[in-house]
Amino acid sequence: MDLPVSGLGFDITTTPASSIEKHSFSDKILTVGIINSFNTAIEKPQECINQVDEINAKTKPKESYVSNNFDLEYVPKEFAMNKISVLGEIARGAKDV
Amino acid sequence: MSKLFPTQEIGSLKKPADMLKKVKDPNISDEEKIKVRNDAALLNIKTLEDIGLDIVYDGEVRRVEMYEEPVRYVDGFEFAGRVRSWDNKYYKKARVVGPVAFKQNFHAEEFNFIKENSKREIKVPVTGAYTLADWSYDEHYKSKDELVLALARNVVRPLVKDLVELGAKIIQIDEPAATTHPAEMDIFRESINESVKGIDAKFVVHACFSGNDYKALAPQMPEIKAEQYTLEFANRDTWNTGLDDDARKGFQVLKLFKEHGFEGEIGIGVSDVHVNEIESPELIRDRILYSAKALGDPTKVYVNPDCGLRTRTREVSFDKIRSMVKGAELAREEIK
Repeated sequence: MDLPVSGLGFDITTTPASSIEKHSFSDKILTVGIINSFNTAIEKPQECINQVDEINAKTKPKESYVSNNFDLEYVPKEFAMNKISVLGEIARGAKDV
Repeated sequence: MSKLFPTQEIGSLKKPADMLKKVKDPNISDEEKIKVRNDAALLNIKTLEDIGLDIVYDGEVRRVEMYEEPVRYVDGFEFAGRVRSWDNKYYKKARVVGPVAFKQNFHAEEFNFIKENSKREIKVPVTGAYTLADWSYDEHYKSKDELVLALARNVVRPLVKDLVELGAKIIQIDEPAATTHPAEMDIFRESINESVKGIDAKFVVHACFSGNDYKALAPQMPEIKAEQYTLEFANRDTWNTGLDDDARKGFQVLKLFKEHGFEGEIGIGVSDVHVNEIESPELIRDRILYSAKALGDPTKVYVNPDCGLRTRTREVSFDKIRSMVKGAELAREEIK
């Protein structure tokens, strides 16, 4: 948290949320990498929204973003586009911080 | 095998261009296409035998490639689309959407043809469970371990069992993905052991180098139910002849296998499959002799290229194999 950066992003598909939630992000931007770029399974928007809201409630970031956890070139294009669409739903559904 | 330093291929050769053209031609009948594939297989078998290879296969000429071919014939998979594997090479990757299960022996026709037409020992390459799992998207099983073991028990084991019932005596389980995940060696070990459980045959494991220099694989080798490993060494070795450690730096890891108590055979990779230069028979001789000394027993040394040769032209591939066979002859002369 002492790094001279504006924000930090985490791969929530592999990093336990609990290891992030114990920190305060009050002066930082937090990016939650909630979409798995390595698997074709399409995430359930509401489950992800709930998870993002919980993380934000505990970390209280200055700003919050949601993203995929890595480049989407590792899944076929059709699945990548579906995942981006789900990402949009998550972003629209998550509570403002 | 009673002959010292038996020579073998790993599996793949580049497919003949005219064969590829004909099998894709919609104007050619299915019957004619079968003949085209048979002719291509026969050409590879006879060429490898004429060169003097002791253990042969057909260059995997009927197979699309090592992942797509088995996945086409296994329940539980659906192809998702093409993705990049490395450089600008793409492959058709599949999703596991249900329980995986063996449907049919998709290598039966190929094996039976080789058995009828070859005079040499036959080693059948089969894609392993760990690699099939690692190279797939899993939307069904709770963990990678679960998928790996399901593939080992329900797909690879029945496939191998059927091949052995057809007469296969040597099966090579191809696991290029294994060494890319050094932390997953336990599940890799279990997958091989489950794949071969209860089956009486000689098992060979082929694993790529992948940056870990086989350090993670070495401690597992005595616990894995395989008699032989076919491994890469040439692509990290020098091109200088000589029997000293400096000249043979690519083969240093052989000592590690011995230190960890592995007493089986090693198919030493003596030809680099990523370059077109042909290793001289003298260089191959020295790689063989060094390996024999490092393992402490020349009867444990088998001789092969580092990996399959399908990225080389057919001309370069056969020249490399020719030189390899000659190098093995020179090595035998030194041991006499």
